[in-house]
Amino acid sequence: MLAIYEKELKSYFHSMIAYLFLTVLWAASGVYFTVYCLYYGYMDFGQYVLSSITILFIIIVPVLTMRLMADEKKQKTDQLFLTAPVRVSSVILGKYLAVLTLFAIGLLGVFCYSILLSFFGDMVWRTNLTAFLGFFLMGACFLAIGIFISCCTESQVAAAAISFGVVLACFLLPNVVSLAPGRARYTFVMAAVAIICLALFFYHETYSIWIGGAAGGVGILALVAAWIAKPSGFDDGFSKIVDWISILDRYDNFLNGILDGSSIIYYLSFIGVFLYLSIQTIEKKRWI
Amino acid sequence: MIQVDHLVKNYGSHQAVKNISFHVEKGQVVGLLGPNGAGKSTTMNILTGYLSATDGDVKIGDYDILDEPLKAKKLIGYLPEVPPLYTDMTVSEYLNFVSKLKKVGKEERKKEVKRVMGATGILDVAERLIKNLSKGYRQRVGLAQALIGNPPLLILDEPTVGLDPNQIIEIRELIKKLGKDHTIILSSHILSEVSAVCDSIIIIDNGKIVAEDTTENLTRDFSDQGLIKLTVKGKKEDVEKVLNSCDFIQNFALTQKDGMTLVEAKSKVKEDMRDEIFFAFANEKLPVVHMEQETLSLEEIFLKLTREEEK
Repeated sequence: MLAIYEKELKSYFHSMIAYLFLTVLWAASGVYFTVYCLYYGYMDFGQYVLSSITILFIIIVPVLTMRLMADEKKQKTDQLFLTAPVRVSSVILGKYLAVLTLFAIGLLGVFCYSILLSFFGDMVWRTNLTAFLGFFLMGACFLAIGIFISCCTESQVAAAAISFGVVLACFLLPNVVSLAPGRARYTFVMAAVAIICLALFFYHETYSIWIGGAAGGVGILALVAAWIAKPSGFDDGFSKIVDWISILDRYDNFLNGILDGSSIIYYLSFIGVFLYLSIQTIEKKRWI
Repeated sequence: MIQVDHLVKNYGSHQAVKNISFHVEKGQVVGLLGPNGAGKSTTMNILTGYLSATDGDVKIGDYDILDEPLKAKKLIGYLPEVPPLYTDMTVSEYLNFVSKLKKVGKEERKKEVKRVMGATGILDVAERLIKNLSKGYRQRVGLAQALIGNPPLLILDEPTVGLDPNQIIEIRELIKKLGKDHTIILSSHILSEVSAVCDSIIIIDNGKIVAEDTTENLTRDFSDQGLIKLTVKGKKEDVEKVLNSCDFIQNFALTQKDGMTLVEAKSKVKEDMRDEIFFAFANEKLPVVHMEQETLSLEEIFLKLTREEEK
């Protein structure tokens, strides 16, 4: 794992990517820092600087994660570590930790701005620290999605485009959902469609009509049972679900200085799920 | 060292490997031979654990490649068809990375990298970027990578493809040298290469093993021992008389050419009858100026086997 970690981290700094990422991150946060903190004199670094630069993830995530696995597959260098005495999990983990380290280095630079700011006024350190922790966890989630997408394709360009789309969707979805009809039966239909899509996905992944059919059948039965038991629970269901799974909404607590245990667990399990999916995607390739 | 039992690999509905079984003993150099698309690379990818078999077992040493992959993979050095090189690293950086990946101890790492670079003759390009190297050097870096950690089993997929004749000879010499203390499986579609380096040969066609034996046995078994060609100084009639007196000859054809008689005779028995023929003619004072028993080259055996398959 350590070998892969070192190699990936080095290759970020051997190519332009690391410098590009650090420049963009520090320049963008520098602009907000100058305008809001230095010019207007706001002391709340998280609220004014960090939450303004979350939009950067749309570019950061594709750029940092696109080549992690896609390029290895294209160049056939994956044959090297898949035939070496190394587990797939340690390969993925090594790569993920490398990109996470680079992200942490960038964030450390941004943290220096807030230290600088603390000389000029009363900084609420607790709020500031939770804001940074939340920002780091949120970034870690997006990067886990990115590495998973990179595992799914052989083309860097496709990986970049898909992760760009997915991160963008994360930003737009809450707005789109507020336009969705809130009536209970719409939620029911939407949920049914989602379950059928999921069942088809299972079928596609396993080539087993039984698993796909069972997943779909159980899902639909559960949905119908829930509908019979408590139809009112479906009111505004769609936006409730999206709010709950939204990576971005969870960040608000951290910005307000609340160290929310459930959000931390949510972020960590989100990362865990996507790393697990990445490992499975690579393992699966051997079977088809 | 390697035990393959009833190996099957399907790619969707296409069956690339159809029930292959073979054993490789320790210290053997085995050639995997077959036309393009025969299933050589697929078989090698399964042996090294890069792909999984649809059915069947692969055992490397004492370990099953699926049950104990880490232990099995530790015994293998693999050079895939396309050498897995990181082109933005220098040769020594790359080999250093591979030795870390293969868990070579920190103290021995430097020595190990130097050893494999010496063995493959790439010491003079150690500090060059791999992307600036020629195809031949890249192939050697790929081979060096397989040698790191000194694994007892080397699996080499077309090790000489794309090299110039000089480099081919160098790599072959290297493989021969490695064959003294390693078990080696190499694939190729160049027959002369296989007959030059390998102790035994497995011929694969269309996902199936069509022949498996030592190089000498294959050449002997498949050659048509019964067919003997002679050039005798003498008249057609005299020659005919001698041949008729030999009871082991089934039939023959004669052609006359400036005082010589050319004979193509087919023998009934499998044994070598050249001595008998020689003395039969010598007794009649008919000098045999040329005699040859037909043997098939590996090329012809290969063509014969793979064509039969098509029919």
